[in-house]
Amino acid sequence: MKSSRTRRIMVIVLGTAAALTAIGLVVANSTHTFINGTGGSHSSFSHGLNPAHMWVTVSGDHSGGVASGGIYHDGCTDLSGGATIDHCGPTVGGDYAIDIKGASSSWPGTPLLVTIDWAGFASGGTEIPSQVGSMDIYVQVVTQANYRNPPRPACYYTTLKITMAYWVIGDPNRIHSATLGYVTFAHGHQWTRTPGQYIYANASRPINGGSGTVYYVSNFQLGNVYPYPDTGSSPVCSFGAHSHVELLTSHSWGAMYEWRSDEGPDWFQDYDVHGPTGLGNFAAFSPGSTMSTSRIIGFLGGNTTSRAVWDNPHYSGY
Amino acid sequence: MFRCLRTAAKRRFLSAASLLASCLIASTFVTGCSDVSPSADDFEEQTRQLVRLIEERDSEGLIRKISYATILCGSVAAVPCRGGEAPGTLVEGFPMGGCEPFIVRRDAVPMALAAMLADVARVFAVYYEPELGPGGFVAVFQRERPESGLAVTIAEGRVSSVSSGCGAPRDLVAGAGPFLIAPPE
Repeated sequence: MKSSRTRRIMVIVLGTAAALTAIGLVVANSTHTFINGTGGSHSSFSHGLNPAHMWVTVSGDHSGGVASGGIYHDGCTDLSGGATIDHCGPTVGGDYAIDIKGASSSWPGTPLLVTIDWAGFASGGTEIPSQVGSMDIYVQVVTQANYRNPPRPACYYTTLKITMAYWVIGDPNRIHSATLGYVTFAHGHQWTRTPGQYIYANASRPINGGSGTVYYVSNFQLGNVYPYPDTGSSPVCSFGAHSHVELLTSHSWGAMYEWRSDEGPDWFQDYDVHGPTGLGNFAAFSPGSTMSTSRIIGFLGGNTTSRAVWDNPHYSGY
Repeated sequence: MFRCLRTAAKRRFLSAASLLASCLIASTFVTGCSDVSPSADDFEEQTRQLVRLIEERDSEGLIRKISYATILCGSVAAVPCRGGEAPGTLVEGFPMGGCEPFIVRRDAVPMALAAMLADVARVFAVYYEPELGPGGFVAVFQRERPESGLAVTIAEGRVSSVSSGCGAPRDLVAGAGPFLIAPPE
């Protein structure tokens, strides 16, 4: 059901992931460390998708606390006793995913709201975006399917493609576009968009550090979080109302906040972002966070094709 | 079947083969041969026994009642291969996790299961889940952290997955039922 383009990207990203047999600690600053993969910081493929090294934030007010999360969150969940689990795995081939509990256990469930906003750009791109005019974010539904066959009521997911349109310094007569990546929302229902349809920008704000305007998607209701457990399949699809949010990014391989420890990447830390330029800090997850205040789930874009995680400074080896 | 054969031994005037055939044919009718498939009552009793093991936090006892899954390592959304394992190697594991289960390798199950049972308080409810197969149930437990319940799926008297942290016990039985053990009012 996935588009061929999505599959192609997944294959390449997962291929890159497979090649990353070791993780090096390459960047250190005054407060955090940042781990980068060994597969190289760039590729012509990913660069073609995001030549301006744009970043966007993914967030939404679908409420509830964080149930689990991290790079390939499945398998990285809190086992309440520090049990070491030796793997994590994606559900739909993404780089980064979390589960967020649904706040409502009655029909039709918590609204599943999506915000996609511009987060700046990283240095080194071949296109330097102009921050004088406008920047537009387009979101298109590319997939809607079910994890199970026959379908289960809590197993539906939908995948969005995130594209930015922008102008480039020195090239005022041509609009440019970059595909920053894909976001999948799972365990939802009553979707308000079908494959092929767009979610157009519904909000605007001044561009950070510029004099133009960014048009972005703010709290768009994509559907509802399925409000009940769905235990009628093996393996079980959902033990309780929650949304699974998975990011597949064109450049950085899983740029997100997390508290990566010996027990696996299962907590989030309130770090600021060291990728986007000139935008200040973003408030992100910390243990016990809820989604009730538009907290950022993660980032798409950036300038590397490797894992990019702001690390737990208390674990020097991780 | 074996009970049928034992009966056949007593009935010397019939050959074992002919009695076996008669048992097979008559298994759906009223005959002198017992149906050895567990009854609904058997499954309910087995489920209650599993509930008691979990309430007693008897992870060693529960491990003996686990139904392990056999899957291929190396595929997306499954178990990564370990050193020395070629992709596609069959490995054993057990689905555990939060809102969605993932496969824990068999050798990691004891530690993970003990951790998950460590703060179980008591059973909250058990509901029938026929789509898990014969004897399909989901048992939900209260933990010492009231905001986080433990859910255990059961099929044919064995544990098929364990989940923690996907909501309070009442959320984990939302919309479910009928119940073998009803939730408190």
